Amino acid sequence: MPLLEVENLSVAFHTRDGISEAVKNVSFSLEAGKTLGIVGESGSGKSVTCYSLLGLIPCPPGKVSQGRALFLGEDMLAMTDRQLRDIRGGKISMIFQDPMTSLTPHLRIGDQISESIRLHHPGLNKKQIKQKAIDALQEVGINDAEQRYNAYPHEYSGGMRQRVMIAMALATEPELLIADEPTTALDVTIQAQIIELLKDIQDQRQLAVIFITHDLAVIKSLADEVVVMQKGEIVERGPSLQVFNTPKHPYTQKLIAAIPTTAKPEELKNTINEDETVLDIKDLRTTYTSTSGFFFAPKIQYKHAVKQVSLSIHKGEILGLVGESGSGKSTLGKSVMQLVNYQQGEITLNGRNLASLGREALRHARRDFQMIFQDPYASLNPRMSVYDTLAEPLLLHGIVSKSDSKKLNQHVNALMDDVGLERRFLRKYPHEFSGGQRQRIAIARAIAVRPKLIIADEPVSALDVTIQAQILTLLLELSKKYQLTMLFISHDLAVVRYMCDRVAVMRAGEIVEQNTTERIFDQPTHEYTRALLSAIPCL
Amino acid sequence: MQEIEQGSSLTHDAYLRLKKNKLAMLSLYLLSALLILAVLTPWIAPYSYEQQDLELGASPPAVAHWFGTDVLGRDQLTRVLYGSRISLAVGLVATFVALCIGVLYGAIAGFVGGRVDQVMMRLVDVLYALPFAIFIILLTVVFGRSILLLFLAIGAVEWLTMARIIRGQVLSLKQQEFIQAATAMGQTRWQILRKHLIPNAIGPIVIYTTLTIPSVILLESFLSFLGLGIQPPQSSWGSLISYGVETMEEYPWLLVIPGLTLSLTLFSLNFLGDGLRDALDPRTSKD
Repeated sequence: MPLLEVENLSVAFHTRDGISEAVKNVSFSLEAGKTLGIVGESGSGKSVTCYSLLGLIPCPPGKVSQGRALFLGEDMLAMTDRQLRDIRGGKISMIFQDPMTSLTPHLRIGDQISESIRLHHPGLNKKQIKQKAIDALQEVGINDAEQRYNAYPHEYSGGMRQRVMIAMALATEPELLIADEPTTALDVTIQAQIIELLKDIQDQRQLAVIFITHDLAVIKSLADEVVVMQKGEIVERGPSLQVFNTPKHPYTQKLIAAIPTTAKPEELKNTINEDETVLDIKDLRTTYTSTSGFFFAPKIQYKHAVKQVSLSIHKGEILGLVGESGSGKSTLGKSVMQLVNYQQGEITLNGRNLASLGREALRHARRDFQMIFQDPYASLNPRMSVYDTLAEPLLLHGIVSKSDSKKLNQHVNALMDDVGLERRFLRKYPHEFSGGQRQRIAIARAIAVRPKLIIADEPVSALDVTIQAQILTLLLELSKKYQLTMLFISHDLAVVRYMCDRVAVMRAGEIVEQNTTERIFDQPTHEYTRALLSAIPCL
Repeated sequence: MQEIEQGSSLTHDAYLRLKKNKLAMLSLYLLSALLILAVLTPWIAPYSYEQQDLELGASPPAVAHWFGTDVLGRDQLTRVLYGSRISLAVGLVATFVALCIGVLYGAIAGFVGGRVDQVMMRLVDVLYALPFAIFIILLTVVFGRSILLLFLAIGAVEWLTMARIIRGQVLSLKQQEFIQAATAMGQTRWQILRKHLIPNAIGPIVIYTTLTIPSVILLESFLSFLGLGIQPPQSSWGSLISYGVETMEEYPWLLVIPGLTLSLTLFSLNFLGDGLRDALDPRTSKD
């Protein structure tokens, strides 16, 4: 008998605009000790499927409209709230995506683990509970667990917190672990460690795992069996290797094809003019100061985000800046954009030292360098229509005058064509668009003034993999069409390989290696680059 | 070649959305009617506001006096009409003054931040701590009594809360990427404030405004009661109501009629405020 058997599960959300079916007729089963991967893009219903089993969807508006879910022979969907509460965090545990928010900030790590142990083992005394909690921390690879027991969540790094979450999930000795994108918020080297950890624990405990993710590469190395979901339906299922090596359904094929695995295609390459340097950074040092304390006697703390970095980008070149979170790559980008103050060094754009410009001159000079931000949900003003958003830079830099509405209309419409959006969308507002469409708007805004340099800070990391592929291609096409020079900041090596001509690897505020993309990927010289490369899960 | 599309502005879209909100539109019409009546009062009022008829005394509503008369035989309709001039003017002008000062002050403090913010907000704290009545009495002593002074005094008190609310909003909005995007585009700080920060704080602004207008109208009656505001035979809704309360048992219409007028105005303002807030937020659907 399988541990978990789901039959014809359907979940619908009743909203003002009618009923939307989030999950349609989903069936799967899972044996003890096996791993099931559920893959899909955002909105595919993969999380709703698992949450509805545990009664965790908000209800109303959500409602399980049909189906059965047998866990150890009992139908979970027919259970009362009380029964479900005993199962949740008991026989079935969950790990969530964001380790930064899923721990209570004001409780010690040890106390949080002890709490879940106490709930499920009422017979134990204080000392036994503490010992169990320390064992749990050791099991997930936290060294000196006895000291770390008394630490608060903010004293732990992201990877450590995710280990704690796993420890908490395991502390109650579950039979099934549901992991909802547990590595998405983590750096690639940490992700590799967490996946290793999950594999080890599963082997030792004969634990069944449902692993929900959008990342095909991660799931390939983990899952025994995979189901692929699209718009609430399972479109393909089978043993992991079979699904990845010989995908049958067109959607699965599309998902796999969307992952960048190659270098930049020849036809999208830009001609690079080695003689013309667009951006030149010399000995840049950016330090953040945080002041605390009293108005008249502030205490100042320093954090060196970028130390002694030198870089240059030639005309037509796309330079990739790779690094893990906290490496200072975004700070470097913002320093170039003059959005943060830097303490030392020169940033020269087209022969002009940007630091020497006065406020007014800098404002005008900003026409030459524009930025594409990471989060398209936050980088567009929600109260400005697409038209106003795109017209703004044109009017601001005097490319079109306000009185010439015909010319302005033409310019704005042409921008929409450039980024592949329908012109009739101009009257809409940002919230009416999907993430990918919003990023297209943000790109249109950045190229509107025909800048000489574009800084793209993780422009695709918030997007689904198929959308990501479209946006990357769009960026390459535009950079060829307008001869753009680009600083491309990313944590994703595969994306960087596809996009960039040259790559700089950054770690702890310093550039450890800089070379052509080919060289970096084929013959990395620095050990950190090698570590990064080996940590990427590949298809 | 596709058709060239034009843009549309938030104000235009907001107007379209507002038009679909029947309650808000009804309130808008009602308020406009009240305003027009208030402006035209000297020409349409059936009697003069100081004309007494001591023989008639207080009489209930009748054909000659639609809203009845007060103890001195003055026509209540005329007094309510003249009262609306004072009350609406105080309510709208003082609130407008408070709005302008408060929004600008708060937005600048929040946006510039640092020491400027600290100094600006400490000044607000100091003003908060001043006892209101003493402040007004001081003003009257120095400048003499006048309606203009009343506006000024009330406006000078009401903007403080607005400034704090806006500062809080701006502080949280400032962190958002679209503000950085605007800086990166090369906009001036003034443009960012005007086009990106204040429009996104419009929700709390509108709500607080609709709350301020009634409190200002009531403040005026409080000041008049202290003898610092307007004096009889001039009238305002506030003074009519406080007078009506005294004679409530014998002559209920003297309380009910100005009371109803005031509540109707306040209801309309609240509905209109809600409608405006929704209309100005593009995230509420267009249809």
